[in-house]
Amino acid sequence: MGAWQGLAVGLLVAGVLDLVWVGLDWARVFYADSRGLALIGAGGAVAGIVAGYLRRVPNLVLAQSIDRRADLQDRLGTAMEDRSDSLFGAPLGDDAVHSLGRLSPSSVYPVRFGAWHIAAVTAAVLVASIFVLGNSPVLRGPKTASERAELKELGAKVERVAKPLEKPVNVAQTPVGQKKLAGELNQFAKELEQGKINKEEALRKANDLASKAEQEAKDRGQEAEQKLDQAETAFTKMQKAQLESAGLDKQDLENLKLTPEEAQTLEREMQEQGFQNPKSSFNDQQLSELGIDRTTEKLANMTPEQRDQLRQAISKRQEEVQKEIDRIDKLPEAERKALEQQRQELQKQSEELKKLMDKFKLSEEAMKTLKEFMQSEEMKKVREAMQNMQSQAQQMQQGQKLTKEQMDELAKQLQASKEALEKMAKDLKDPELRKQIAQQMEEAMKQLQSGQMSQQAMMQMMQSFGMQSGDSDGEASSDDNFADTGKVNKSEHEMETKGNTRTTGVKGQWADKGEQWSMTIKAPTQVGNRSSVPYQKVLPQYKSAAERALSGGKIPKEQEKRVKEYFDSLSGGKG
Amino acid sequence: MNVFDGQEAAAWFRKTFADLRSEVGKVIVGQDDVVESVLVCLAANGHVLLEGMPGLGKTLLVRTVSECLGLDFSRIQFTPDMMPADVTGTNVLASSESGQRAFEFRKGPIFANLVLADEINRATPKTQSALLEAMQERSVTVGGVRHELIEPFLVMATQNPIEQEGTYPLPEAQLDRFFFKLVVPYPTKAELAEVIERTTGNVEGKASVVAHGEDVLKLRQIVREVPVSKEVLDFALAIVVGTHPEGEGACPFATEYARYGSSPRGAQSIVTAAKIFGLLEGRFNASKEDVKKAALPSLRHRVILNYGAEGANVSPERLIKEVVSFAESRDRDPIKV
Repeated sequence: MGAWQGLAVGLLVAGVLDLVWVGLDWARVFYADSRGLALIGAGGAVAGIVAGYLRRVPNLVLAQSIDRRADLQDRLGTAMEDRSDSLFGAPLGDDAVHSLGRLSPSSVYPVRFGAWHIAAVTAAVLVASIFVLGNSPVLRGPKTASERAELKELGAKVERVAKPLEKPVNVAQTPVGQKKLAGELNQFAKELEQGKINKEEALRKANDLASKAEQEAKDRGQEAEQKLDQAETAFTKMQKAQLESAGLDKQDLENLKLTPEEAQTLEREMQEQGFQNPKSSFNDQQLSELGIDRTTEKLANMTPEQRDQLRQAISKRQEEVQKEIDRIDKLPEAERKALEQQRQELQKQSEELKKLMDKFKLSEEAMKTLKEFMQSEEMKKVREAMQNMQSQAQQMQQGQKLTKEQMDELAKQLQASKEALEKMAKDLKDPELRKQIAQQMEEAMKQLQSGQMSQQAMMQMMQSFGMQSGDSDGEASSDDNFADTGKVNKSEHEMETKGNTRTTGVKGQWADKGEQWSMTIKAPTQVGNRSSVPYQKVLPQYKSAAERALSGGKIPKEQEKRVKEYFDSLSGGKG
Repeated sequence: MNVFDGQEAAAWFRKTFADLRSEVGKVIVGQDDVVESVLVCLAANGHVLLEGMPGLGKTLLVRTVSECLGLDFSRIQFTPDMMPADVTGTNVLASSESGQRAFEFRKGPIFANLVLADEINRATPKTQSALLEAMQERSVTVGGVRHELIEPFLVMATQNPIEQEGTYPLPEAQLDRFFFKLVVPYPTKAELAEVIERTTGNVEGKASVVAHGEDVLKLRQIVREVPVSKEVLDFALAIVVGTHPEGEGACPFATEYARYGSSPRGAQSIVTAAKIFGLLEGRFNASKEDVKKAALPSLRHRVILNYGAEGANVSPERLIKEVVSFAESRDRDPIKV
């Protein structure tokens, strides 16, 4: 019985909540959907049943209730009070028990529609009525109806745009920002579909969303760069570990280091020999990690021919110095003393050249190992992929869009890097670092993909609104509208164009709207032609200001049509 | 008490009551409610005021009740020139056998078990007061000497609602001393036919004694034992409080039309009468239905209407019905399903 009443109370409470919701929906504050409303109703009903079932009623209250319902003339209620010292206590108790025995619970508490139930049903009917009336085309005029239909269509498009963002196929875990963006897009789609937003507001909102998407892409780019930095650190560590494992310990590298004097001598000799060192295999960071400087690296980086040439030059120079020393030694005492300082310097020079010759040998071995490792095909692939990804992440951070081709290229490179790292696995000293690199690169890739998806979604949404996205570079979009039909005919043949551009025509089935052409024009951006604020961002405000001016009679009558047409043309000819 | 157990006590009560009713019925035709209410007053130890047109059998009813009980009966016909001493009695100078003279108290008609105060509103307030003092105190004081009245003592007063000239309506404070005020209705056609048949023929109905003074006292004792639940008591009090034009629990109708509500005696009267009704219904408790039944005779003479009520032709009976409905509306089933 309690459960029956609980059901009604629960439903009523849920109904009241639903009423508030549909009220807000009506006032365009918070949009309602039928599934949410039904869920609240069901939740309320279940909670009510459970609460009603668990609720315990005091015995005296129950007795008083039965007295009323079964017309027991207050027998039970009176008997429930202590009457042990009363003359009529015993017979009253017997009478109450006897009266109660004649009753059946179902007759006392029949299952029937009480006030709570009526209230609950009324609330449900009200909710349904308000919701249906608020979304019904019956109350709209033809102009509103057509606008609503158009908005509904836009809503469906936006919804399609949001879908891949919500559950991307190739990203295991959707970033929070992307999820939020998808949620906002969905909400926007609902608002459009339900016609709870006018066109001006829709345009303004679309612009806001586009800005958010842009920011989201930038964030993803930043995140990707961070991941790549981590991968880079792991990569450097791996190199160092690898060198150490090849027997090139820290002391060797220390020994390899040139003193300033040695460095000066080497530089001089190299200059005299007119050496052109081959391009360095290491960047500054790597060299710093290895603990060697650029001059030392130059020494190590010489070609075998250069090395021989320098060796000979140094030997020759050493011989010359020795000859000079010998000559000084043979001079008379007074003269020799005068030249003693010069002799000492030559002696020092000779020793330095000797040391340099020794280091030649050492550097030869160290760099052989280092180069073997650093210049392996696998390492090159990994490094190249990392550099490419870093560049794309920076591009994304600057607000530039990534193309599908770029992403495909990155995906290929990532795959190749992973394979290379796999291949290297058996030779590596620390496999954990390899895993870290692969993981960070993969993470970075996800961020880039997510950012790209946000950018694409926005591009498609803006196109739906008859506007180009913020700073479009003319790349073709990977529009899902074309993807699912199986009728896409990407002709890829170049069409006649003017100027330095390449136009690709694509013909395909655009959802159920029939065949449509899509034109892709690839052309270099002309520096200086871009405005500091994309006009789409300010268009809705300007348009709304213009409409206010029109409706307020501030525009001369003969110019009204012109102003209207101008703004219509800016927003793609739609209202 | 506990001379017998509750079952037996209740059975004896019902039987005695039924016997009395049946015996009275031999003389009084119809007027069942009035007869029952008079007997309720008897069992409740309360005085009764009967109001009705002349010739409706008020006096006969009282006389018959006294005959059934075998109790002393006296009738006081109130007139404007009647003095208090005519009711209470007085000290008179009397000579003893030895020739000595001394004042001696000669009891008035009030010294009886059942007193019929006929047309009480014809007496002056002074005389009415003498009677009403006796009703309340159950004693009279004459010449500085207090004289106890005999038990059981019951005053049954009658008044005529017409012929207002030369009458002294009972003050509200004095009306409050009556347990019930009963309105004696006209008999129905069938009852009237029976009355005519009995009074114009040779066969005259005669009531015999079916109970005695001790039985009346026992009836009163049994009534006191009947339990009343808190809920029922609350309901009775809600009705009484509802008659008050101001204060918490006031019925809006009473607020509009009542000048004064019922006194606490009204609540006592309702609860006691409800106990008796419960017993008569075959129960061992007083119920809300009993309270509702007792409300009208208990309160109709205790609420004082204002001028608005007179203007709107609102009677005390109507006001009490509204108050009872109001109390009922606030008395809801604690379990809503």
